[in-house]
Order: sequence, then structure tokens, then C-alpha cells
Amino acid sequence: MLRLLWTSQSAMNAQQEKLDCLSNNIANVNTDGYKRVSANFKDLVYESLDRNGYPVANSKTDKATFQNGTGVRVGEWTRDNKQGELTSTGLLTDLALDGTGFFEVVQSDNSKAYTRAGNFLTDSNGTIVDESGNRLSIVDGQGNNVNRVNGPFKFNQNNFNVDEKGVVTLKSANGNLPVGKLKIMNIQGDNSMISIGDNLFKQKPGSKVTESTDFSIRQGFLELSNVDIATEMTEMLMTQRAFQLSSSTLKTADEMWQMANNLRK
Amino acid sequence: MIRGLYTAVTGLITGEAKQSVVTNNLANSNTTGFKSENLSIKKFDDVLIQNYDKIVNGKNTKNTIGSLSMGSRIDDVNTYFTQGVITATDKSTDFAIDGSGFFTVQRDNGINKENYYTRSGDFHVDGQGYLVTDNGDKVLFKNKQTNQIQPLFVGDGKLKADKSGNITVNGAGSYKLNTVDFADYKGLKKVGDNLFKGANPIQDQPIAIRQNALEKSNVNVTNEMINMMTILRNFESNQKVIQAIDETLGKAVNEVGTVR
Repeated sequence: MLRLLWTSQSAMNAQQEKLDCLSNNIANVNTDGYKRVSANFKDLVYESLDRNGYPVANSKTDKATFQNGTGVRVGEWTRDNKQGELTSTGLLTDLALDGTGFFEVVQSDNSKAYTRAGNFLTDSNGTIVDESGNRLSIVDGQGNNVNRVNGPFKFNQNNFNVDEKGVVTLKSANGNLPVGKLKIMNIQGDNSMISIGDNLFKQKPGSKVTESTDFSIRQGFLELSNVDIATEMTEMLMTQRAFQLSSSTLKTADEMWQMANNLRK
Repeated sequence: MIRGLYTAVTGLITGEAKQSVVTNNLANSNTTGFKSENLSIKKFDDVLIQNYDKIVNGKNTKNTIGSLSMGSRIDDVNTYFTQGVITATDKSTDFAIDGSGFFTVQRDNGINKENYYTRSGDFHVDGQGYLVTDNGDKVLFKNKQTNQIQPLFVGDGKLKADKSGNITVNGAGSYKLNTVDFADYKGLKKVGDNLFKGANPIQDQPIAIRQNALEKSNVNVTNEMINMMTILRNFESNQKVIQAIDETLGKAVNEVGTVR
């Protein structure tokens, strides 16, 4: 009887975890550059039915398939890097990535982080930053980041242009000055990124980061979240019902146990 | 009377075992590529009942009463390999098989590599750039140029599959999903993680693959709920039978032969 309780328990836990995943997606339905997370179920190990005290047909006990399952779990959460919709904002500081890759930003401790959220700003130091103050990487021909405090260029919200391939130019009295190129990086693998909040990702230790080539940059656009609310809601309903089912199997197991306990009044 | 007690108990235990299979089916009602199971119950072989209570010419003679079954036992576990509903997803690493067949995945436990089979096509690209399952088992492909069976390196590339399982990465390469089929599904053993283990896979069977889609569980929730209710009430009946036998036994022990 304990087995029944445990199987139901595993199912309720798994459905709960799936709900966690779905509610996180729904919460981020309006987060710029958010990529939805999907979670799928896996069945647990199987246990032989040839147990002590079980009335079994002798001819079948040596069969490998004479077994029953012990529940379910949620597999690895994987990120779905599908393109989000682009929306026009008209702000020159808004950049959207159409294709694969991530913007590289430099955090205050000089470590690198990656983001798809292109709602950048310019700060009082004349640098392009994201909303948390992390600086966007713009590298010159020597590979130095020119978007830094006391750097060679001062950016403000309408004095720079970014072309499709990520080449940044600065408007000046003598025409457009070449500045550098945005660093758009690809991280190999769907799950090689650790989300650290604020739309930022860090690469997992040991994962391979390469420069992306398959992208185009749209200035004045933003990439929206790729969460489809209808899908998430449908999945939520299904998960909720599955949770309900598992709670009813739990109740059945409980009732059966109660009956066994009441065998002798 | 004691015999009746044991017979009723076999009913209770098989009821519990049946419920455990139903619970597992319901737990996996949303598991991709899950195949539902059913426990078949059989009665114990009949035994002949006879006694020597009949007295003929002052001697006890054999008197055959009839045959009696001693309850129920677990006969077999049947897995239903019917098609699950195929739903569209937006991920290019999701695959579904329409019809019979299995994907082949390779599990490397550090000592040796073993092949498993699955209907669950929720794959993704791992940190090394290979197409894997959630457990990190590599999905096997056939390289159509060298005819070798190997994991597929995707890297940052885009996967494109046609209906018969031919795959290109970024439009290049010529691979085919290494799908197999089995002559007898009865030998397939579930090992958890949506995987099956089986001997003598038949390679290169025609297959229908859908990319950007997943096969849902084939558990019929309504049927399972009805099964559950039946099992519960059946269990209850058996409990009542035991209680009745217990009461009769009690009477036999305490009331037969009492002097009032």
C-alpha cells in the first residue's frame, strides 16, 4: 500500500514542479528577450511484481516485463531558444537580435554575462548600459572594449548607429566615425546557460562560447518574450488536472489502506 | 472457513497490485511517449474438493463435492503500444514517431555504452553540441555516407528533418535518425526515463517522423479512473467477505457448544 502512496506522491511532486516551470514562463510573458523554459516528464524505474506474498502465476515470474512502474519525475528544464517577436520602439538605444546569439555585457566586477534583452540606455559616463548598469561590449579592431568609462567615445541616446551586422558608428560633425563591433556570442548547447536574473545569463563552466554569425541586428526594435500565453495556459490546465488525478489516486490508496486496517473491527 | 479467508486475501493483494499499475498510468498521463499498462488477473487453477463424511454400510466413503478456485493471482503485465496523440511544439529538437518504431539512444555509464529505445523525442543539444535526451543519453543517427551509427554533432546548427527521418544540420550533411522496430513488442522491457530495453532490433524500417512535435502519453484517463473505482469497490467487497468470514469464525469458536 505504501508503494501506491509513493507513486501518487511522486506524481504530485512532478506536477507541482511542472507548474513552477509554467508559472515562471507566464510571469515573464512581458519580459524583453525572455526565452521560455520547457519541462517534460520521465517515468521512474520499474519494480518486479514477483514479491513476497504476491499471488503470481509461476510461468510469468521469470519474464523481464513482469514489473510495474513507480511513478514519474520531471526531466531537465530546457530553454527554448525560439526567436521572439520584434516590436518597433523608435529608440536608437533599443537593439533587437534577429537570429542566434546573445549580446555580451560586462558586469561591474568585469565578468561577462549574456543577454537577449536589448533595452539599453546611455549613462552619464557616455557608455551604453543595460538597466542594471552592465556595459554592452563593443570591440574595436584590436579587440578592446571601447564602451567603457573614460573611453575614446561618448555615447548619448541618439548619436550612434548600429547596422545589421552589429557595426557601431558614431555620428559627428565630420560624418560617421567607426567605433567598433558588437560582440554577439553563441553558447553551444540548449542548457549551457545559467540564468542569473535581470535577463542575464552566465555560461556554465566548460561550455563553449563562439562568435555568432547567423544574426541581424535591428536598431530601434525590441525582442519580446517568446512565451505564448495560450500554450502555457493549456499546459497549466493539463498539469492542474493531472495533479488532481494524482491526488485522487492518493485518496484511493488511503481508502484502501483504511479498509485493510478495518478488516478487524 | 480458513480457506475462504485466504481466497479473499488474494483478492485484496491483486487489487492492490492492479491499483499500483493504474496509479503509475495516471502518474504518467502527461509523460511524453509513455505507453500505458494493464495487469491481467487470472484465477488459481481449480482444485477438487472431496470428503469422507458420507457413510455407506457403516463405512466412510469418498464423496466428491466439486471443484473450487482458490482466488485470483497476477498473470501478466501488458503494455499497450498504441499511438499517443501528437502535438505540435515549436522546438526543432522535438521529434515524434507517427506509427510504429523507436528512436535509439545510447547511454554511456562510463564502462560501456548500451543502446536503449524510446518513443519520447524531447531532445536537446548538450554542452558538447550533441543531440541528447534529458538524461544526457546521446541520440543515435546513421551517417548515410559511411553507414556508421553515431551520435549527431549539432553544435550551433539548425536541424531539419524530413518525414522519413533524414536529417541535415545547417542544410549540410546526410544523416538519418536511427530508428528501429521490433518483431515482438512483448519482449520490450521498460527501464524508466521513458526508455525501453529490447533484443534483436530491426533496422531500416520505413518510418514516419514529425519534427517540431511530441507524442503524448497514450493513457486514457477516463478508463483509468473507471478502473480505479472498480478496483476500490472490489477491494471493499473483498474486505467485507473477510469480515463476514471472521464473524462466522468467531461464532464457530465462541458460540457453538456453549452451555446456556
